[in-house]
Amino acid sequence: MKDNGHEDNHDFEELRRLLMGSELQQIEQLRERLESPESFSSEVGEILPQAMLKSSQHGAELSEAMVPTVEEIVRLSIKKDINKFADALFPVIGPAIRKAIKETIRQMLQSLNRTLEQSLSWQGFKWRLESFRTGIPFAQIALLHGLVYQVEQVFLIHRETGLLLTHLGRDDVNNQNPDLVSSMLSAINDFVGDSFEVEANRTLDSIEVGEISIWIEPGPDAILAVAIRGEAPNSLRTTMQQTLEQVQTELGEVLAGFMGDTLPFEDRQDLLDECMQAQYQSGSKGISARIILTILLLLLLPIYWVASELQRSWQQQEYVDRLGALPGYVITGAMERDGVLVVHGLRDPLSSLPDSIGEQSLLTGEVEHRFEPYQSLLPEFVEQRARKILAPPEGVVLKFERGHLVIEGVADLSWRERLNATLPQIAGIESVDDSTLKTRFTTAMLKPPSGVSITLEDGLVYVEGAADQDWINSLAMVRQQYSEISAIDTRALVNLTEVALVSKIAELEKQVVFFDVATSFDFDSIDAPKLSALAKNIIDLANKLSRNVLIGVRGYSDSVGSFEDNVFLSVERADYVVQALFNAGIDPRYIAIKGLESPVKAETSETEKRFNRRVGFEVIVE
Amino acid sequence: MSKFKVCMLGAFAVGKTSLVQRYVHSIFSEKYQTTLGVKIDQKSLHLGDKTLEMILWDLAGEDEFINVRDSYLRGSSGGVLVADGTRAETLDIAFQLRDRLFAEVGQVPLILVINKSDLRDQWTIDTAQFEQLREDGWQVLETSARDDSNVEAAFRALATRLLAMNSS
Repeated sequence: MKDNGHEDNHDFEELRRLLMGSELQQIEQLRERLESPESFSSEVGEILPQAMLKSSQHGAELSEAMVPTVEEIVRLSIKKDINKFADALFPVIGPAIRKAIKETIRQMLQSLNRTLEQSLSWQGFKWRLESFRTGIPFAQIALLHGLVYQVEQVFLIHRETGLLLTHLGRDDVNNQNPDLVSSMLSAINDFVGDSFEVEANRTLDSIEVGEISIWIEPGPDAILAVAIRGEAPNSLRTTMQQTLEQVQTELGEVLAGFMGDTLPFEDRQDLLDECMQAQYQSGSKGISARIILTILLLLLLPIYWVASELQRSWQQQEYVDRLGALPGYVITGAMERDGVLVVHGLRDPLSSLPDSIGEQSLLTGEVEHRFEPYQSLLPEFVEQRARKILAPPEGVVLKFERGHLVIEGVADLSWRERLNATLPQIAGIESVDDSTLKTRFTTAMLKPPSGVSITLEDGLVYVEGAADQDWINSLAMVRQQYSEISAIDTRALVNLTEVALVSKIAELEKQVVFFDVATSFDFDSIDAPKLSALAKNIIDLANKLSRNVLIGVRGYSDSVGSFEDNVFLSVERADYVVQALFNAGIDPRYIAIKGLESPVKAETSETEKRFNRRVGFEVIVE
Repeated sequence: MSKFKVCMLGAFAVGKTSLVQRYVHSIFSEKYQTTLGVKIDQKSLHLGDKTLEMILWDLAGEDEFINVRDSYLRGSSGGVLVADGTRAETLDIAFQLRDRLFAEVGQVPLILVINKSDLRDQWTIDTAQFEQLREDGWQVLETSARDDSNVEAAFRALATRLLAMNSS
């Protein structure tokens, strides 16, 4: 059976070979290709891209299926060497971060823009024009104008060796040996890294000394360092990153295999051009800021001058107005002369000085006052003036109301006399009421004549000496006037009027007018003026003394002839003298005529007869 | 043009700075060595039709107080090991520094300079071992910075090796 079976298989194989022929050989080849990993992977590799492309066109199933695998690959790659992954992502991460930062800054600038839009200034207007012209947001323009900086040198340094790959420097700047500088920068970077346990792959960001800053931007294989004078904007850092990315992209392979040959880099200085930035506050375009400033100054100067003049004029007017509003001032004019404000007008000397006005006023210049004195009729000035002129003593009160001055109290006679003398000189006083003003008594008020002394003691006035009746009469009036006088003692006072009356009477009574015989009258023998003067004195003195007086004119005759004739003759002779007195103006009321009673003297001779032919005088005072 | 970072390595006071000062172009003061631990100089050389720049990192001398910073060794293309013939122990320090350099950057061209040949009568170093070193592939030069003896030759020898390495 076993042999039969073997023969059956052989037959079957023979039959299959006859039926399938070349296909069988192809099947065998396919099996070998599938079973060989090398050939199978090679063939799959050939069709895999196309297959993945086809699959992605039909849907995301393949991508979704690969997600876990790719994630695991990334995870393992990072775990194995993070630097490789970081290097691979370097060209991608930079732009992505910049895009995010750019968006953030854009929003910030928009906010700043809104804020700045509210501010109005010439500079702002200029920047707005620039913003409109360039399309750059206004805030960014403002930011750029606020910064002044200049990149002086750019170093592209091989990161591993510190060797300088290429360098750009400004011609106007003294560039030290860039090879040594770049190596020293690397040394400083290493020094800092070693000294302060800096995280691996980190480098210095910047070095700042005075106005110079060195910004350092590291890449996977190269370091870009720029030396800056001034304050550079952060956009320069972005430019450095872009430059470094460009270097890495274009020269990455050369950098990776760098063995000291710097020739490939020396030809690519153009890569660093972008970093050679400079920003000046005043650009070369258009009119320079200095010229604008000069023009502005030239424009501002006359404006300032006009404004200053207006302000000064306003200040002067304000000062004059203030001065004119002061009581006691009348401004008649004001003008400026040689920078000095000269004010003309009238000023009551009782008014306050204008210094206080100067302190309150905004006027800064010099002021000259030319005031003529005058008397203000304002009530406060009238009252003040009255008080100043009258200088009321203690006990006297002045009240002034609407032109009416009331004076009350007690004052000395001297002040009162001065009051009466000065009141008319005080302008503005329309009426005066001093009815209640009392005069304080003094002995001087009695005005004693020489030879009279007066003493006052407890209201009693003692008068000594000699005085006439008129003055004595005034004493009584004074006593009535001053209540503080209780009495006047004149017992020691001699009345000179009475003395004079007695003297005159005696003199008149000594006078005699003699006549010739019979009716012969010789008017020439009468001294009429003397007699009448004496008579008049006597009458006046008696009147002063309030006494009644009668001047008797007695006529006499000698004994020759009858008694009746002689009486008649004596009367006729007396009448004759009286007529002479009448003619001299003596009032007849004071004259009385008396005739002969008997001869004056016994007649023994012609002489006695002649003695008796006379007229004599007799005065009666009661 | 090729540029190479070259470290001057050696013990304290073996004469590294004096050797460098002979020909180099320098803009930095020696005070950097005491502050940063390194002073950088530049030496340009022409070898045939080729020009190369050696950026010489003159590292502060290794002694019991100062250690050469490994970070300064990074990126070196070659080095000059300097020993003082009057102080035998400085050769050992040079070899220690060689080992640290190799550990940092791998096998790079080096030359060994035994300095102060002007004081040869005071040398304590065993010159017999130089032959052994040469047989081991070392290029050993006896120099004197004071007499300017072999200084140029030492740098040229290193430059030759650097170019050879670069072209290989």
